[in-house]
Amino acid sequence: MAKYKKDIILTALILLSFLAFWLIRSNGSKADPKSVNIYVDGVLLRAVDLSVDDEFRIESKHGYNDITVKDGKIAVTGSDCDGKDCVKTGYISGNNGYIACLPHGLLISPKGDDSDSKGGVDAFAY
Amino acid sequence: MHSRIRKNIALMGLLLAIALILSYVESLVGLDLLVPGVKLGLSNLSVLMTIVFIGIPEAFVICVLKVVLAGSMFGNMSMMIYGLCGSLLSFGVMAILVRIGGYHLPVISATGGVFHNMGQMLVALFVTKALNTEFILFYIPVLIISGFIAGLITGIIANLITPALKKAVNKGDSTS
Ligand SMILES: [Zn+2]
Repeated sequence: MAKYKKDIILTALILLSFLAFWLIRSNGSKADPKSVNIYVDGVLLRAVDLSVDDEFRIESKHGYNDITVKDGKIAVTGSDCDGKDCVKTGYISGNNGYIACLPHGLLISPKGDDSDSKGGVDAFAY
Repeated sequence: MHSRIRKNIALMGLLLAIALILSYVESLVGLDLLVPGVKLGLSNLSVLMTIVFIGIPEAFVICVLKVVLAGSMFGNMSMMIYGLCGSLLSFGVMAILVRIGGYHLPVISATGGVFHNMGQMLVALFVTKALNTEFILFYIPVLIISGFIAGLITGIIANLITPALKKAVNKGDSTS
């Protein structure tokens, strides 16, 4: 056992940090499942109501992202970005994650994430 | 002496080839971890083996070549930047653990895996203004645990092939 002492300590440290971040995360999010915010380069571009089906294009100096809202969910369905990771992410609803298009600086995030990131500060303050 | 160097270069070529194959498989399977462009880093196996068999400076060379070659062959510019930062951070941490000593391969590799993911998240933070605090908090636990598991698997594989590779290398030593 002594042979693995260092291994065990390091593994425990990593797993503890995982647990700590996991707890912060599950405490923090009380997002509205019916709406999301779309940011480009950290600036709030528009709030989207997911209960209304819609299709539109977000254009910025980086390029375009085609957004589809359907059945209370939202996806990036087309883009001229590198890698198309945003398209691969598929559909999300307002409380189960994010869509990021890093090459275009685009982030679709649950509402309740204010641009002043109030939620985050609260999570740290407690 | 010369045969030693020649053998190391041959071994590095082999390990680099393995790294490229693993990178290719990874790009095909699309093991992106929710965070766009973040790869698991299975090709770290080669970096790990180079640290064990040859040395830390040589492993650094493999680490950089692997990312640049894989990025230019079956990736794109952003994949290259993310990969480079992730791999270098992971390499640095693994090299430190090897230097300190007393750690075993699976744990070294698992720790490397965690920092591989963190490095990629750091680049994302610096190159775009897209990510907010909530996004980062949301993904950090995912990045930690997936990096840990991927690194652990890689390390266990490295542990399994080490004896065979050692045998092959030593055999070559006695005949030359
Ligand atoms: Zn994209």
